[in-house]
Amino acid sequence: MIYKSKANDQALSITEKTDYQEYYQEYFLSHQAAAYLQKHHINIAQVNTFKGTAFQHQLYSEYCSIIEQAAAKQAQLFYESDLLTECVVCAGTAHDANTLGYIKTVVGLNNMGFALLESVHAVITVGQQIAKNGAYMITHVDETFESLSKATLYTLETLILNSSLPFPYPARDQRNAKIAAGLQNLKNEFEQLTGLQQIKAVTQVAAEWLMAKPITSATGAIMGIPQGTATQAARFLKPAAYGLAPTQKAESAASRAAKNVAAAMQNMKAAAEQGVGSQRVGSDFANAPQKVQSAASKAAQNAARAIQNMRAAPKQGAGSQRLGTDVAKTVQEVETVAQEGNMSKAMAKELLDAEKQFDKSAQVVVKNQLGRKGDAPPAVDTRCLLEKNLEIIEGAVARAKKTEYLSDGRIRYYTKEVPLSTLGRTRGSSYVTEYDPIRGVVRSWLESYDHSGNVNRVHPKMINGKAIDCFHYPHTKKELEIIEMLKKGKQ
Amino acid sequence: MSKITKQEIGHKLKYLVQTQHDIKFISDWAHSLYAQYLTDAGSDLDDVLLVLVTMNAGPEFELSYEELDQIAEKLIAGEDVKL
Repeated sequence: MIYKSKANDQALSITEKTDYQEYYQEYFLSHQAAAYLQKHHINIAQVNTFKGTAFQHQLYSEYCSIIEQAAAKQAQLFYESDLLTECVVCAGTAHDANTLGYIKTVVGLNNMGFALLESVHAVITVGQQIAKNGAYMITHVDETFESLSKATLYTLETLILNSSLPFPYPARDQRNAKIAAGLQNLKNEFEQLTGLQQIKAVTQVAAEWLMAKPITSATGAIMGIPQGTATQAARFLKPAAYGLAPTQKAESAASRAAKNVAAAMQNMKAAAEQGVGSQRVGSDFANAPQKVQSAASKAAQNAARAIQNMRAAPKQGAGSQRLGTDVAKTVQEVETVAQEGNMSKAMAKELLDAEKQFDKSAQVVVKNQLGRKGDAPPAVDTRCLLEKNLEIIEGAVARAKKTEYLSDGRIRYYTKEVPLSTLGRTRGSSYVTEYDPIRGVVRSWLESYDHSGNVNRVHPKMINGKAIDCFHYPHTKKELEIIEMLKKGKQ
Repeated sequence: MSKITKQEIGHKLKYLVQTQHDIKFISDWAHSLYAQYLTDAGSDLDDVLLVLVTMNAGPEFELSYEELDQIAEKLIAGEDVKL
């Protein structure tokens, strides 16, 4: 998934106008981000300076933004998030790819970094929302079960309306049209969302669905709805969700719904006669006390009466009041179950499982993108800058054939010249290491000399231990051809 | 700084030559070793690495695969490499 940004387009335009000119720029991370990087053994000194084109700098600023956001999100969490760690690894790889000039890779990795951040954000937000909802439900039991019973009633009404009635029934068509229109609206809204918003929406729906599952199963069991009815209802709603015409689907949907209702009614009758309802509830709440079973038995009887009333409602029009009374009784019985606290435990478990699953799937995505961990390039050099520079200078001093002290304090160490055996303008080449004690910078490059001993070509190799991949100065014939090709490509 | 042996470099170089890796890649690989490991300064192994690094200085410094293969063979055999 590629996220296009206006800033990227502008930076690309500037890069083209300036003929891919590269320049240095300094970046300053917040203390929070710096501490977070250090925690992941990332050398901040290497992050502070970057050389590249305007587009590369834009991508680099995205990298900094990812690190800042990841650090801020980690600060909100009481545990070390694997998802955020993967995000930092991903950003680190993007950083390395940017240094090497693999622009497409950087764009992809940055996008993935942002997507991971958004996923973390969605998990946190949804988690908080679920926790709030859970707390509200626990403290407002009456209201919660009233809402649940209303929702159940609505579902049952819809199922009854969709039963195989021998005559056209306007309420059924109106209800179906309303549901289909609602789902169509949802689909349209979803399609208009950006990629990140879609991820957020899907995450939220998944989390809320997981949250709602125990409630649905509990209510369904008490109301005597057989397991699988919800799945059937979902299948019935699916065609509408994909925007198909409700009229085309009405017949098949009605027949499926009729089967569900018939099965539900048979179960209800069996439950009422044989007391199977109490066993079903007992299996859902294995640790609940005995009074839950008796409550469920009563609830099953009430629900059976409710269904009978609903069947009579279209003909008699007077069942709704009795139905309301029955549902209210059911609610009172269900309250007893809720007080046992089993539902809140189940909700907490579902929430934790959801985040674990989400973390795992995100890790799989990152691993698939990068290959095995062993194959992935090291995201960052874990050694500190001072130690690394010291090692480089140590090597340079040991290999130096010539040392040059410049007036501004810089020291240059030259290795012995590697002679060129073939005839030509160039005589040989030396590997030069320059140490700037004032700025603490160590650079290395290859110098070629002509037969008079003058430098005729330079090829930068390393800055502060970081290998550089760039053209020669002046460019070689092959490089000039590449530049020419790029220019032609642009035209 | 850790040390690296002739044989280790020889085997790796042999592999890179056999798999026809780009000369620039081989030079970059040699540079990573040159910067990372401290061979005995002035030794022939240090010189070999420097020559491999120098292949990146310009096209005129590039060695052919045959020459690189010969160097790899000598390194594996532990012989002195005279360049």
